[in-house]
Amino acid sequence: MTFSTFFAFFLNGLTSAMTFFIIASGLTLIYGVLRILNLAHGSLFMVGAFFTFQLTYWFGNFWYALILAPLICAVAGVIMERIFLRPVYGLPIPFQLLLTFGLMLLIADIVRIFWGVAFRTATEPRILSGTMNILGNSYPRYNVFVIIVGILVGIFIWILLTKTRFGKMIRASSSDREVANGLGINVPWLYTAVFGIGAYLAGLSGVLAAPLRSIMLEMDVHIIIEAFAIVVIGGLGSIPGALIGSLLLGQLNSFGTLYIPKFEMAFTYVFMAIILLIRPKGLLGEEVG
Amino acid sequence: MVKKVSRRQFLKGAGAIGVGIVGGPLLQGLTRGPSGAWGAAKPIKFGGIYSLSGVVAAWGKAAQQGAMMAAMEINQTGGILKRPVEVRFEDDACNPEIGVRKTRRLVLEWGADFLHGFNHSGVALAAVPTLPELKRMLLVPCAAATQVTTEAFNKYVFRPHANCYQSGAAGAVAAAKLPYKKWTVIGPDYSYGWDSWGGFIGNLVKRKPDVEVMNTQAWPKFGAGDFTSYILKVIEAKPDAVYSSLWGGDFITFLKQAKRYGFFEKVGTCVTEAGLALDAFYALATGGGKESEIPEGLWTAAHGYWFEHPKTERNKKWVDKFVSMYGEYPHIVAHDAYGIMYTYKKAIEKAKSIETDAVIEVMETMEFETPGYKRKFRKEDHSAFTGVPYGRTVKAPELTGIAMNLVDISDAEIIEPIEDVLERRTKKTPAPWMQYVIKG
Repeated sequence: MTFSTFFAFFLNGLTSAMTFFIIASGLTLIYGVLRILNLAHGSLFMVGAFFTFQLTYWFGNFWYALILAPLICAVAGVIMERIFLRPVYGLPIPFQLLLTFGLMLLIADIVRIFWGVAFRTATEPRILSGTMNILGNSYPRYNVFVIIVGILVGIFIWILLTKTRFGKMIRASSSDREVANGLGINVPWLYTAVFGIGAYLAGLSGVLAAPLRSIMLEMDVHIIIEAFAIVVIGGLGSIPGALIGSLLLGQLNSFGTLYIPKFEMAFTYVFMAIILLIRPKGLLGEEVG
Repeated sequence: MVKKVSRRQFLKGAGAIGVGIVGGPLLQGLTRGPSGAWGAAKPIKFGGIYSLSGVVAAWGKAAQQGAMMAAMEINQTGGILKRPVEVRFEDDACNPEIGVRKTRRLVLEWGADFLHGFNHSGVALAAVPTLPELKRMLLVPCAAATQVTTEAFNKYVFRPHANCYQSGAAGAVAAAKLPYKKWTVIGPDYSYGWDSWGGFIGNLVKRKPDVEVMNTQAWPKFGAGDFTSYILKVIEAKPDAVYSSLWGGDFITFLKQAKRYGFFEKVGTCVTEAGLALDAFYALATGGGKESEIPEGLWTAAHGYWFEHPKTERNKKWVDKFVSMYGEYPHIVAHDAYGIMYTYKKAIEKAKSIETDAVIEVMETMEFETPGYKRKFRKEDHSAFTGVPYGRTVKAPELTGIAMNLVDISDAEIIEPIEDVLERRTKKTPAPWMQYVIKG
């Protein structure tokens, strides 16, 4: 295999890693702070993708979707947190899982009622279509755009958590909710904000994925499984863990298809099982932010 | 009175929020049943099991549209044996286990007299073995894996449309005229994916012995959201031409991703039996329906029916009526599910009975019609002699009101020799074309 082919596979792995990372970072952020495993996180990804279809259909412009669709998901997330999740904080995990599973079914049905069962698509703006030359390889511009957005999101989350007052509040309340409350941090408000940010990231990931695939029902189920695997591999609640998990899984899927396609279906799960055997808390478990 | 839907109206429907609810009121009207004296007669119950949710729900919805339209017409014109028909649909969620459960439920709880169903061959193959115990017939309008009427055959199952062998053979007729020698495949890793490729390439090799079947093949899982690594792998192997047995959302995803890598310029051509059924033409329309993401020059059977073909008065009228009812063109599965209701009607009326065995006996050798085709069942395996259309994509917005159309469509009527089918059924040997399915 030539270097240029190898590099193309690497870039492919990186593109899917970045979509994974954006959705998984939201999932792990929510878990890290709220201790909620949100099964409906993938549904927000799907909602983001469907709004990308609708907004590009209406306005013929992907940029509107890139700005508006994640915000719509954030608002949906805020509503979800305020109405449904508030009452289950502190209840055992099975209750939370049941609730978020219910929300997942509910959102899937809402999407079905609004958009029907037909397959939908969205196209990227002209400036991002076509290919560009990277190290002698012609590579799709849009995929490069996804990689760049992924990196920007990573930097944004890092700055948010480590350099801002808001980030300090997040870290404080994720390590001890009671004390944070006592120190005057408005924890309920903070929870809503974090959930909103997580939902925004899920929506953003959906927008970015939309031009790369058919937009359809069941997108939620597939992505939530991948996102969960990444979060578990990286360590629940750890953003750097989500990044590492995404990068590993992205490359594993990409090169695995090339070398051992027979086992493609099992990659994610075998890898997750191995990590859990070696490090039950995931690669960077227990560290938040 | 048939009302033609304008291009503008049609596109409005295709893009608007709320299309999911279309058909709901129709269904209610049907299940309520007609009033009056003949309405007092005990209805004949037709149960349909399709993927109404999940990754190929669009195909399930199409079946519902077709079967409902036929049931309404039948009821408006006096029913079957002067009895009204009643229809019910169950959702198999594209899951074999659920498919089996829903099949049983339709018969045991609802009391279905006749069954039709299945979009996904994996689900169909799971449900077919339950038919002898339920003692109910099943007509399969969509799932196309050959196994349904060979290895898994029992006397209750009928396939009124082309199976993978037939559509593969029809594809081979078209492909044999093309100058390409090195062929490979990208297809979903399950029965339909293998049979569709095998039916195609096995027949192509017979027609054109210098064809080379490449060892590098791509078999992603059904419903995978990312095919890019497989696409790169296929491009890297430098085939002359590629067959794709991906279908539904999978083919749409594949096409979008493949285009980015210049796939369709790098390979000579791409042939897909079901990938470019009507759902894909709708989904890949852009610019308000004036353009399409589908490249020109792809070959497809649209899974066995393209609404502009054949250009008969009967087909045209039916398409117009369908469009006026649903605001969209009929999908292959709508066409075949519609045909199924009339096939049942004809057989029941000939048998003068709704007794399963009597209807089977009549249907086994019966000729029947769909809006597009005249077909006949083959007694031994209950598959149908039928033409399979293969055509080439071309930009032609003026023809159909969607940016992309199929042209040069020709129907090939090729069926697997019955000796081969019977031998495979008795010996339970794998189909000979499985030698061309190379995973590794």
